[in-house]
Amino acid sequence: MDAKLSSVLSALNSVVLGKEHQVKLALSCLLAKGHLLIEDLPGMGKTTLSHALANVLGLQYQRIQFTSDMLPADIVGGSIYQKDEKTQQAGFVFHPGPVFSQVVLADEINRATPKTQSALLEAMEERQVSIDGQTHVLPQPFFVIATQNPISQSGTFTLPESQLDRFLMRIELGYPNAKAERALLEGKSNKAMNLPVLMNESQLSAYQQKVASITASASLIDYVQKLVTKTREHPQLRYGLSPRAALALLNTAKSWALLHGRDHVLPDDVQDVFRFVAQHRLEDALVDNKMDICADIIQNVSVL
Amino acid sequence: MAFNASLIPQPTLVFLFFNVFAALMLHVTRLPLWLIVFSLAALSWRMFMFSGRVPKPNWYMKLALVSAGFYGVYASYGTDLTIESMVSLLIAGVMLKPLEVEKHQSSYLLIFLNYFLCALLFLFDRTPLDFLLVIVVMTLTLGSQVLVHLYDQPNRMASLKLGFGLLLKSLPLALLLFLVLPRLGPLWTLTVPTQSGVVGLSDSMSPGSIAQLGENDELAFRVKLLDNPLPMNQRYWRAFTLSEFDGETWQQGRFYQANRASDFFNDDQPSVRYEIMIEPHEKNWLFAIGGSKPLTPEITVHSDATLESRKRLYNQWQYKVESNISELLPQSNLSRSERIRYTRLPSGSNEKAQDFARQLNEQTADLPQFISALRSFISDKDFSYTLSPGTFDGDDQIDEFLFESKSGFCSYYAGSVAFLLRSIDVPARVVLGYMGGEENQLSNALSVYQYDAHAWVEVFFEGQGWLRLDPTAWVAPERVESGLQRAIPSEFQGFKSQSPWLRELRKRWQAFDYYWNDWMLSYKGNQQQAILQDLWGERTANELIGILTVAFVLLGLGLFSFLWWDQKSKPVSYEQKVYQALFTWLVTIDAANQGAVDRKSIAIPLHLKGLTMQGVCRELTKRLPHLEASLNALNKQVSAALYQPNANGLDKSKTRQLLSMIKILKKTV
Repeated sequence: MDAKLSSVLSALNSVVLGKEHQVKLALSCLLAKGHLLIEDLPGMGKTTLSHALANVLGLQYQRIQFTSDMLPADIVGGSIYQKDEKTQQAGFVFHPGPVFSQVVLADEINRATPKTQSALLEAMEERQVSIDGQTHVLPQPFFVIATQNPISQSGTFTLPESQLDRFLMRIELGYPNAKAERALLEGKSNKAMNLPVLMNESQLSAYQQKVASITASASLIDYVQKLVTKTREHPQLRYGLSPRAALALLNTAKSWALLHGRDHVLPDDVQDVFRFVAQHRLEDALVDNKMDICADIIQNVSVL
Repeated sequence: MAFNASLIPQPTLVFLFFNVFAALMLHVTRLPLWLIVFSLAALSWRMFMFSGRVPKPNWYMKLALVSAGFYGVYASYGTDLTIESMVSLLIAGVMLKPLEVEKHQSSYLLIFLNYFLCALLFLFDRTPLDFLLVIVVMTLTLGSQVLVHLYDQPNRMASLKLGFGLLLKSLPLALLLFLVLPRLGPLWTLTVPTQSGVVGLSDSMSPGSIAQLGENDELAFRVKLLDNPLPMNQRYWRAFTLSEFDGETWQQGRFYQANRASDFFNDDQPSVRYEIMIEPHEKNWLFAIGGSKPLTPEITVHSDATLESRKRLYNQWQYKVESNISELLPQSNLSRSERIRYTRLPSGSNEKAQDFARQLNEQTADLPQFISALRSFISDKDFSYTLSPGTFDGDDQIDEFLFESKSGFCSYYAGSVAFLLRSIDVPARVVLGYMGGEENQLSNALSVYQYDAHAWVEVFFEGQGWLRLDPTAWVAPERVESGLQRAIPSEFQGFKSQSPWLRELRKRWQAFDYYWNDWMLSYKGNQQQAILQDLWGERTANELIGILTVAFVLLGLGLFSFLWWDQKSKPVSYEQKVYQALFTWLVTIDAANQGAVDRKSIAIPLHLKGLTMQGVCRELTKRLPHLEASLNALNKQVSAALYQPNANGLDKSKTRQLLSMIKILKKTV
């Protein structure tokens, strides 16, 4: 693996203990220029992970705590009438909201009203904000990490599938193992703010370029197509993966291959990331919602 | 869940058993009562078994049930092999089968048996109603067949709909086969008589034999007149003649084939052509009026001018005849043996009657006068026509009838008059057959029922032939002019409702039934030939069979080559070959470790499904650590050919190389 990427991973792993796989997924999501949804209980390290990610990569970081009385303007910002100090001329001046940041942590995204949610989700997709007829481009790179609590659902607005589709991946952190938790309790974990900056913007964007250039051979694209087709024909699914999801699967597999130091994608990469790309997109389509649909699809699609 | 191994859910089971029950009901009128109870008990046992209230039958219970079935059939039918006994045995077996049906696999046998039971019905009955019933049961059976395949979510209504749809879709093919497939003569003919026998004439005549028929309203045969009308009083359908009298019973004598088929037919006389659709009576005789010329092959004309089929009539049959309308059957003279046979009487029987005849003969000048004297004797005196004359118990029954009781029906009169004629050495014989026929303008056919059975006399006039005499007409002219119903309304057992509606309905049904039989059952010969000729031109039956066979073979070959080509157009790629070689190796290693013996029965475990090439190599390495380096190399080669930049896939030589590498690796183990 690339030395720089592995140092980034080890720095992140020193903050979020015992979650190597999820950390790797979060980084591959960012390298694939996608947004990340973390679903877990409070206190599992969601904020820590996103903060660490921003710090290590030298990115500007904003956290928005979503609540039910939040308005779109609280996220994207708004124009305010004010007098310029120097020219003494009054006029509307645009004040950018917290979304104008390279890493945005949207905490408990499902607590906000659909109107507010969609303001953020629009910004995620377009990577720009339009207010009063003026278009404001969001900073590059732009990476949203949204979290939601799967348990306490009262007073929340579940994200509809059209909006879940905007997230490249969804991961769950889960409880740490005993050893990692012990290390945490003994104070051996690093603090996110203490992490060294290991990468600058141009390096990051070079890596993102590199992901796009990873080879996906004809055989591999065949496999991706077979997987996607299977979701559309599966008797236990009311609908299948969208073309956007198919693209997301291939891109994620590419960045996963990069993280493993390869210049080409293997079917193994696709299988490794399939669950995290597909599960949240298919959950509502399941006829029997106790079923492990992703495992079923992987098992029943021949690789060659 | 595998189809074969899974248990049948309750809705499917209930439906299936209802289906079996419906198939049983098709045969219910012919089955003994015990068998119906037996079947219902077996079905209920199975239903209780499902709810867990009664145990499954073990082997000795099954043995006992099967033995009970055999014994029951034996007790009902004895050891005679009749169709009914065989069908009952089959049904007893079918009804026990549900006790063993638990899984989807075994339900198939039951479904096929149901189809078989449907087909069996046609051995007995082929009326339009029977076809309708079979269609209903076929739909149910198709529904069951669909239903057992919906093992996850059985939906009975949807299955029935699909089943009915399938039935409808198969109709055009059935119609095509019906229309164009030449009927081969049966390779195997069912000659087992039915248990109940068939109603009809018996080949001897003793007092009372026809009276039983007089109470039977079953159809005997139908006549379609092809040109001229046939007046009611000429409708004497001859079946056979009785020439031997033993003092009590008239019996058929030995008779010979006529010299020429047209011996008794005179082209100059007025004649009528007709087609007879005869119901099966399990004998050979056929019906015709007067002197006849058969127009259908396979018919023999006998020396007594009766017709006989070369085969016994176990099935409905149609034949055409041309007959003279005449009371006289031309025959110039009798041979010596014929003369002896037709005048022979047992010595010393019915002496009173013989004396009476001789007396009458002395009083009259010639035979015509003798006959008219006889006529006036029978019609003037207090003779009466009845179907229930009571029984005679003396030895001289003719004496008793002529001079004491004086009441009887056709066979009494015919037998007595023939006896009286023979008493004065005039050749005479009794003819058995039917008289009459109910007209139906809709189908343009005459229906003759069993109650139309009749006996009359033929007397020989030297140099001229046999003259028909019907002594019944002397005593009851209505019997001849308008039928049995008018002659004895109180004793008539046939259809006698006076309601115009019912009469009309009956007429329409009769007409429909006639056309049904004419087109469906007897569809062959001319109608089919006409259609086939339009299709194929003038061909013989063998040529047609040849053409059709070639056509079917070509069609089949075409279908198979398409399927083969379709299969071949999706070949196994080289990559798949290599992958399969490795994967099969992995699976067999696991199976061998678990002690599996039969290679075919190895199931792929879930955790191995969907493995990538690298995954297969990894799993193999786990099991065969010493091959790690070789397996890695193998994986690298495949991955280079498939996934790395500029990968072009595997070619033939590369694949061969990889496959031989795998073979070598396998051998090292």
